[in-house]
Amino acid sequence: MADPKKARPPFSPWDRRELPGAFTVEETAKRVGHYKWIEMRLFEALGGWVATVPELDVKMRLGTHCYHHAWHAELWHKRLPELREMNPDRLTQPANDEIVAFIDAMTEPEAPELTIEKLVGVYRVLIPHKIAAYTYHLNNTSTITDAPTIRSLDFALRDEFEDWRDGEMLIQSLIETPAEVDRAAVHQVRLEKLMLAAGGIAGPGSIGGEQGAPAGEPTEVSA
Amino acid sequence: MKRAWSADELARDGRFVRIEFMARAKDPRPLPSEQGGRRAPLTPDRPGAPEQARSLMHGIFTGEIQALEGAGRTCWDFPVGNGPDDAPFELKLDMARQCWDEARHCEISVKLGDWMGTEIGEFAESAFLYEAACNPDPVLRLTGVNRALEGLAIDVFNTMRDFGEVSGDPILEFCEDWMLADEVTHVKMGSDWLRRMTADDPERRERALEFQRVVDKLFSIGGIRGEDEDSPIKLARRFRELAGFADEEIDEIAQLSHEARQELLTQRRRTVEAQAS
Amino acid sequence: MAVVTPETFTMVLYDHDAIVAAADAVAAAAGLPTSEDLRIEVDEANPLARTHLLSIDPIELAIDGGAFEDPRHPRQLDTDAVAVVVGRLVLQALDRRSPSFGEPPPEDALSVPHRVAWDVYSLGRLDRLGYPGQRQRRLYNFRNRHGFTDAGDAAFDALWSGEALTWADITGLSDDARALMAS
Repeated sequence: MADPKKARPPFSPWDRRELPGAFTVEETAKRVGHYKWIEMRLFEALGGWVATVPELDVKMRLGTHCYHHAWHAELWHKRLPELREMNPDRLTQPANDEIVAFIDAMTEPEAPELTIEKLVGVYRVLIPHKIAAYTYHLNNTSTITDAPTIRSLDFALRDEFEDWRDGEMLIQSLIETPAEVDRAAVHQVRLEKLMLAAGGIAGPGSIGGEQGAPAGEPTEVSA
Repeated sequence: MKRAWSADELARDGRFVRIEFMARAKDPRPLPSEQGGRRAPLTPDRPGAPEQARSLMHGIFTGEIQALEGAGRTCWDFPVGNGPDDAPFELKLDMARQCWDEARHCEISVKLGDWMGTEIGEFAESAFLYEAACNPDPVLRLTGVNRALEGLAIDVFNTMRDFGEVSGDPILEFCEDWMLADEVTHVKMGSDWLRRMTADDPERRERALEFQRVVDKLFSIGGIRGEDEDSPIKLARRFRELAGFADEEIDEIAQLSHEARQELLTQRRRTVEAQAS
Repeated sequence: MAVVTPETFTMVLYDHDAIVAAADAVAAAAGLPTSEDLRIEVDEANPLARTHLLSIDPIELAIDGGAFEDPRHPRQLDTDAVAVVVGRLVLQALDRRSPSFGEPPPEDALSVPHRVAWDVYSLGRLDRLGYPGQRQRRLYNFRNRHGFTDAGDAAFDALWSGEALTWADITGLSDDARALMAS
C-alpha cells in the first residue's frame, strides 16, 4: 500500500474541473428564478390539460409529465435560498413580458380536438428551448462553485429529454393527414416567434451571446 | 385555457358512455333486496363474483381517470398564493405528485382490465367522482377529493385486494396493494392541508368538513359502501386510521352510509309506486 | 323458432323481435333444427344476470332480464348478449340430449366449477361459430374457480378449443385443475 502520509494532489488526475464559471451568484439566482417560473407554468398547464384531451394515452402521459416539471420547480425553489435569495417568491418571475405572452399563447388551446396544438406547444417549442437553456447553463457555470445547480440541471435535463421524446412520439402518432401537419406547423411557428421575442426561457442570453460573458468565454476569476 | 372545467366537459374517446349517477334509483325494476334477496360482500364463493369484480374494476378505472383529471385541474385552477381562492405552492406540488400517482393507477387499472378480460368502455361511466373535484374553494375541493374520494378508494381497493387474496389472484392482490399504499398517502395529504389551511379559519374548516360529509354520503353510493354485514364494499377501518381518520370520523361515515341506503330505498319506493300508478 | 315472452316489455326497453331474431340465428348456428321451438322467458323485473335451462326438449330458458342488458346503457338490449347467452344454453341443451355426452346432473345440482367449465366448452364452440366469446373474460372466470396456475390455464385451453367432449372429459379437466389448487 502507498504511504498514507504521502501528499496527494487534492484533485485526482482525472478530475479536470476548474473554478471559472459564466455566472455570478446573483445571475444564477435570477436564472433559477426564471426556471422555476417556467416549470410552474408548464406543470400547471399539463395538469389542466389532462381533463381536456380525449386520447387516453395522452391523458395519462400528461399526468406523469405534470409531476416531472413540478419536481423541477421544487428543485429550483430549494436552490434559491442557497443562492442568498431568502425570499424565493421575489425571484420567481418571468424573464420578461414576452415570455408571459408565450405561455398565454401556449396554454390557449383548450377544446378536446386541439390535442395536437397542446402537445406541439410543449414538446416542439417549450421543452426544446428549456433543453437549450439548461444545457447552456450546465456547460457554462462553474463546475466547482455551482455544483448544486449542475446536479439539478442534470436531473431536470434527463426528464426533459425523456418527456420531449414521449411528446414527440405522441405528436407523430396523432398527425395523420397533411392538414394536421399544417396545423402543427402553424402553431409551432406562431409560438417560436413569441419565444424569439422573449429571447428564450431566461430572456436574452438564455443560450448566451447577450448578457454576461460572451458565449463560450467564462468570466475570469482571480485565484 | 379557462379555470374550472365542468364534469360535462371531461374529454373522452368514443368508447366511453356517460350515465347519470344513481340512475339505478330511477330504475323501475326492484332491487334484489326489494325482492327478498340479499346484498352480499364481494367474495369469491358467490357465483357472480368474478363478473362483479370485473365491473368494479372498470369502475375503479374510470374513477382513476377522474381522480387524475381532478388533481390536474387543481394544478391549473388556482393561482399560487395564500388568499381564499389561491393554493400554496407546496399544495400544488402535492397535487402534481398526485397527478403522477393517479396516472399510474390508470395504467395499472388498464392492465388489470386486460387481465380480467374487460374492454375499455365496456361499462358506463358516471362522473360523480370528478364532480366532487369541481368546488371553487381549494380547501373544499381538497377535502372532497383527498378525504372523501380517496377514502372511498381505500375502501374499494381494500375490498378488491382481499378478493384477490382469497381467490388466489396474485396480480389483482399485488396491484391493489400498491394502489392502496398511494391512496393512504393522498388521504394523509388532504388531512394535513386541511389542517394547515384552516388553522386560523375555523369557519372555513367547518364548511370543508360539512362538504366532506355531503360527499362521503354521496360516495356511499346508496349504501353499497358501508359497515353493514351485507355491504358489498366494506369501510376499511385499519387503512383509514393509517391515513389519519379518527374513529369518530369513520363511525360518522358508516352512519352516513346507512342513511344513504335508507334514502335510496325511499326513493326506490317512490319510483315503484309511480310505475304502478 | 324462438318464442319469447313477454311480447311487450314495460320495465326495460327491450325489442321483442330483436330478441327473437338474435335467438333464432344463434340457435340455428348451434345446430338446433329451425322446426323446433325454442322458448325463452325473460324476467324483465330482474336486473340480475342469472340464466336457467328449464327443459331440453323442447328447449326452455328462463333468463333474468339483466342477462340481456347493455351494461353501457341501462335497461337497453344488447343483442350480442342475447346471442351468447342463448347460444351457450342451446349448446348445453343439445349436449344433454346427446347420448354420447354422458349424464350431467340436473341444472340445480351442478357445482359452480363444473358449470363454469361447461360454459367454457360451450363458449369456445360459440366463438368458433363467429360469436364474441370474450376469451380472456372467460379465462378470468375459470381461473377464479380452478386456480391461477399453468395447469389451470391448460385445462381452460383444452375446454375452449375442445370439440365432442364428454361430461366426463369436462369434469375431469375441472377436477384435475382444482386438485392442483388445493395442493
